Amino acid sequence: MVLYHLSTTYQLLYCIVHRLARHPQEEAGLLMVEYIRPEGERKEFIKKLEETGWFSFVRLVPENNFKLRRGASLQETSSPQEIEGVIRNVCACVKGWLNLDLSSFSRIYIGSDQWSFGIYCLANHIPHVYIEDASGMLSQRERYMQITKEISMTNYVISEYLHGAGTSEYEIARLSDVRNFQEGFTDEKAENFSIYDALTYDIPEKVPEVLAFYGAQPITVEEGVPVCVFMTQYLKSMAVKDLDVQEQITTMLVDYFAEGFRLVVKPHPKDIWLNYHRILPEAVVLPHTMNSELLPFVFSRPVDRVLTASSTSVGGMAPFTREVFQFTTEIETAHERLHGIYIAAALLQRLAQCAGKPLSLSVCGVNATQLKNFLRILQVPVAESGMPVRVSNREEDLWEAEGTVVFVPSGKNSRKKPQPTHGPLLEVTGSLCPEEGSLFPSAEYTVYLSSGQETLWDCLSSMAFVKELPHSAAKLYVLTRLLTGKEKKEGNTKS
Amino acid sequence: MLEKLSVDFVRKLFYLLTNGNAQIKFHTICMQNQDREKAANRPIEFGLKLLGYNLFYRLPGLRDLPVGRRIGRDYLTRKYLRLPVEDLSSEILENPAAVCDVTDSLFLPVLGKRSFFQQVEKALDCPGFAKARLRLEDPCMGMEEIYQSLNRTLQKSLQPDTELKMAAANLMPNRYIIRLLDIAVYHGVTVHLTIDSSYPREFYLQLLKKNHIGFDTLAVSWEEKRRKLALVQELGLEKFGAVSADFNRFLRPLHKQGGRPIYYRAPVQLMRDTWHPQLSPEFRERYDAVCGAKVFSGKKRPSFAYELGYLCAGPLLYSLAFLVEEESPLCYAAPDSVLSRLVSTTCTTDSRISLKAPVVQVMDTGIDPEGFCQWLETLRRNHPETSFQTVSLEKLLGKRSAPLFSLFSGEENELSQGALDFFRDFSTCTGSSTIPFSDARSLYAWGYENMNRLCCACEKEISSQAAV
Repeated sequence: MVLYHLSTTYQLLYCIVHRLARHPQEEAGLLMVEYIRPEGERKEFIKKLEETGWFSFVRLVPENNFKLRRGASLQETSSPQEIEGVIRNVCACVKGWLNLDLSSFSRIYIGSDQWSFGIYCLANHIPHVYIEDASGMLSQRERYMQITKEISMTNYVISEYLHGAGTSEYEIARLSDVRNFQEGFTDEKAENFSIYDALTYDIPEKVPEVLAFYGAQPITVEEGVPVCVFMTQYLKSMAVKDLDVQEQITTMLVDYFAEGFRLVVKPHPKDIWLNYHRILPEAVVLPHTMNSELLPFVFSRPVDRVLTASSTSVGGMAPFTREVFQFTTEIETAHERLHGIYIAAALLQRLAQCAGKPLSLSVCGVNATQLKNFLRILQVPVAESGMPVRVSNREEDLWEAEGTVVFVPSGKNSRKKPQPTHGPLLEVTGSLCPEEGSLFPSAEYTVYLSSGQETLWDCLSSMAFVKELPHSAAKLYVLTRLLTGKEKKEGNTKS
Repeated sequence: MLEKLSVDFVRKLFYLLTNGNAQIKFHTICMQNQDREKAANRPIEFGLKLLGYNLFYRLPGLRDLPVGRRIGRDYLTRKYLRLPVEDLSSEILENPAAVCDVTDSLFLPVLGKRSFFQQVEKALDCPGFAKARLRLEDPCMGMEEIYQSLNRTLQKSLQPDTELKMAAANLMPNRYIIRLLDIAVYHGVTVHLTIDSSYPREFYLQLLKKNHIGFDTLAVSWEEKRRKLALVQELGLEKFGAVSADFNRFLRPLHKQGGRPIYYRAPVQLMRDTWHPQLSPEFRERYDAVCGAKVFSGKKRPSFAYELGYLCAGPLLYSLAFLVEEESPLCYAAPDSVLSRLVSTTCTTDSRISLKAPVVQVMDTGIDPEGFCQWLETLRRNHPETSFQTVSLEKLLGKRSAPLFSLFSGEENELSQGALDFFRDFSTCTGSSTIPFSDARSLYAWGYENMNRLCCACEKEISSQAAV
């Protein structure tokens, strides 16, 4: 018999599929952190799971009760004695409640080992298989620990103390979707298991059963209309803690990256606070209760584009779409910079047109993922043998770097206004003008271009356009002007 | 022992200890929010504290003492810590319907009735308007009726358009409650809005539309000739949540009829509960409204530095910007500083600038005394025909200006962000009304010690990082 422990809806689907694909002949038990469902829904949910027959028993770990008995909450400054005291109390709670002989299980799988059962196993050196928290999350430990810290400081402190979350010596393997690992990440204990692969190749006959459990209805996608699935995130696991900002990020991404697409929104199972019907009235909003990993099995045909701010679940859709647009977590902390990057990308598009050849880009200090995504959208030709262009957030590069340079001010440099002291400069300014009721404030974003190829100036300086951002209720007015030595003099003193 | 008490009993006891009156309700919730695990970790201490709050906030006179609630001296954000709206939403989602009393929750007025009518009086250039209008203020009377009476009294032929236009500008949408209702609407909760008002329904419909607020019904008192409570009672709801800033006349009676009260203490009330320095009444009314709405509505959980920047440095920056704009064409501050973005005055530390006027007033911001002297000396050398008059900010303040470094240096921090936000909010919400310099100076003085302490800590951190 095997035992699974989990705390997230992703892990639940993962465990169900794993149990059906890898342990079809064995019995399996399931422990779930009670917070997986709101209090009022728990009984019914357990009953529904039991009725599937997939698990011999399903139990909710009474974390709230344990919390009342653990003695104290911990801080990063807590002493080892304090931490050990809490661990002892947690272990006593689990021991009293568990009533299972853990040695009788052939394998124990633990997802989210920062919760009580995981703490118990780590503290008692019980060998187990670790299950990552979300697709590919094993490769983003820092991000994961930050989320853990924000959800429960005590759990975070214990997890660090016991070296959990995918770093424990008592983990015999780490179940993870290795296809979604961050580039360059490897883990010798990683054991690949992908929901998509298992359902597609190992147990396709079980798909209807799994879909029925989740109440997933087939979605017919019209032919001839490109479809973009936007995958949302849970506010509490994002760096932003403000629904207004989450809404701004959503509308901005849809405006830039889903133009001309039939939009389908897949809310994260816990993303229940943003009113997508209001924000994106023309979109089809799927039920949040269904895991995004099941989407490939409910759509009548592959979708054209998957878009997300930084959801890890996007990996689950990757095999089922032509293209994926995702961003690094910087978009959560400095989303407004995206407008600036868009202007830079539009300038590069113009540059490639004016030069009549592809660009060979080197990027320094500018978010490469954001830039790359815009270049893809704008279909800017990029080739290693193309015209060398440096895109940088360092003002000095305008004069020091050779060839053509695009300066994108950011952070402390965001208000830098370089002067054409060493030659002419092209200034591209985007003015964000919100309409009534928009969540965006008025703002200005400027990028600069210096180049030794003066033949390009005429072509470049005629660039002017308006980018409509309908869901953000704003317009971005982009204007270009050539700065020569004359502006330098004027720019030095205010009138 | 506590663990042996039945959950029902503990819940009833908790309800009794947290619902005595509006202040008990608000402050006990804030106390829980400050340390969500306190009840679990230290139940005895938590229980005693609840008892203490019950005693303190029941006693008239005593309960109004602003203990631990002083502008610039206490970290008020922590004191007035509401739940994040997404957490509060679980309360409104418990029932299939919700009622929301619009006054002091969904929209927050900048000016109270009296001051607002005085402002309208000025706009209409109609002496006696404010007094007469205030006398006629009755939420069961429509604007047409009110203006007929007014015109009879004042012998005029006024139309309500000006008042309505100004009333819309006088209301600040509260993003915290807007979000709360938005979540409710998203989950299919039926939302009933109610308001005691003489204004036409169309006035509110426009405001609601502009702010993308979804709802099912809107009841305005004058239309039905009944007050908001009666209007809600007529809906015949059995299970519902009730959101309001009116604890005694709205939430209490509705609770008796099965409503689940979600008390939202008005942000301006929180500012009134706070101890201020002596401020001119006209400024204080606006200051309380804007600061309450922008800092204590629940939307933000700013750091102490931001709060100080907003409440204490912001008014000074605002007042100073007007002063500098009018009197000093030259200011010793970085060209990319916060101040430089707000004024057309030249902010510079560069002495190579060209000057044409025979007399130039120069503002010494105090950010670098030695640097300022050298700069001025060079200016004098470069412009021997110009006479320079120096105005020292420190002399104007009667205190050091070190805590304001981030406003003048180009090195921004949370304090300068708070000050800048105050500048923008105050000018937007009050139509750029002025702030007396004496008021700004008083608020700065109240926050001076804490601002200074935080700035020193910040500087130490920067220098230790530089050393590393």
